Amino acid sequence: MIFNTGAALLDAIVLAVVNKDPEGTYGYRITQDVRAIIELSESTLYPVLRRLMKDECLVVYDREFSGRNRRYYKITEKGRAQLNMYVGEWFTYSKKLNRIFTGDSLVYTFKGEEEKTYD
Amino acid sequence: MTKEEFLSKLEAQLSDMPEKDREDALKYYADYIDDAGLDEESSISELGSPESVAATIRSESGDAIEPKPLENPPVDANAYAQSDSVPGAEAGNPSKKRMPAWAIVLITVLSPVMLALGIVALVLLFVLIVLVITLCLLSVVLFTALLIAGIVALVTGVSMIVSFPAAGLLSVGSGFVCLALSALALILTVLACGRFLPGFFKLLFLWTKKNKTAEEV
Repeated sequence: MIFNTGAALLDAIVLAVVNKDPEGTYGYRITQDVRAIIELSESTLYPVLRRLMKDECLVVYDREFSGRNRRYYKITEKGRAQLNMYVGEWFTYSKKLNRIFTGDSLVYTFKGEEEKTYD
Repeated sequence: MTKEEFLSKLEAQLSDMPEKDREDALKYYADYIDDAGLDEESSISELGSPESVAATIRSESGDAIEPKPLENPPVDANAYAQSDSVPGAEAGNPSKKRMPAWAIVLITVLSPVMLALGIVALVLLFVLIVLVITLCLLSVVLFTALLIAGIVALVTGVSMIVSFPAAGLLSVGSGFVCLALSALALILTVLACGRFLPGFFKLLFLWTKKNKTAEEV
């Protein structure tokens, strides 16, 4: 993708990915899911998870998996509220972008009206 | 490099971190290597060197270098806005242009007004077009009706001029009046359909074309 992914957007994507699984999910899966959406080097995700844990948006727990303990990341109530906030912000933002990119006809007419006064 | 070598080098790199933070990070990368199947010596380098991984771990967690963990910072969208982009997430354009805050506020405040004005302008335009077309059609209908009425009155008048001379003359006279009026209506029609209507649409066309070029620029 040619657009920058800011910290807030990355947080939002990770929260959305983790939120998909009510039981929580593990680091490698999260990385794969996020990398399906945006370009991200393999080791970059940990700081994001770490930040979200510090903000109490995620909690961790260990669960046995094929003879070893695997760490799972699970969304909290606070994380869910944060995700809702991000999603709401995103819809507002993308609606505005879509309007300007597609050249909304109503705005277009108004601009025409403005033009006419110079005639 | 084996998994154990990688992890012990990483641990050495993170030695100044609080123990809990270091263990969390090491657990994450140990799990990652297992789940990604990076156990083979060659593939573990996909993660990058232990030094660069350590730098990544520190990069977005400034308080990790502190001797003790800080209080949990409040969840605040503005805090994220300041640390603008995540290293490694995108090697993006460094010169990012931003809209000044006042412009964003102005656009946000004015957008419903603009929308309403746009709708009003659209409706007005539609009414104007309908009005012009109706006027042109009306003049055509007027001309045709007067012409037919005139001819009918003339013919009727001539046919009964012998039996009822007065009525016949009246009818003939009315016929001529109607024909004269229809001639006037014809002039109106020619003016309306021949000059006013094309002129109006030409104006409309020029206006939209101008808008389009203005938008493309």
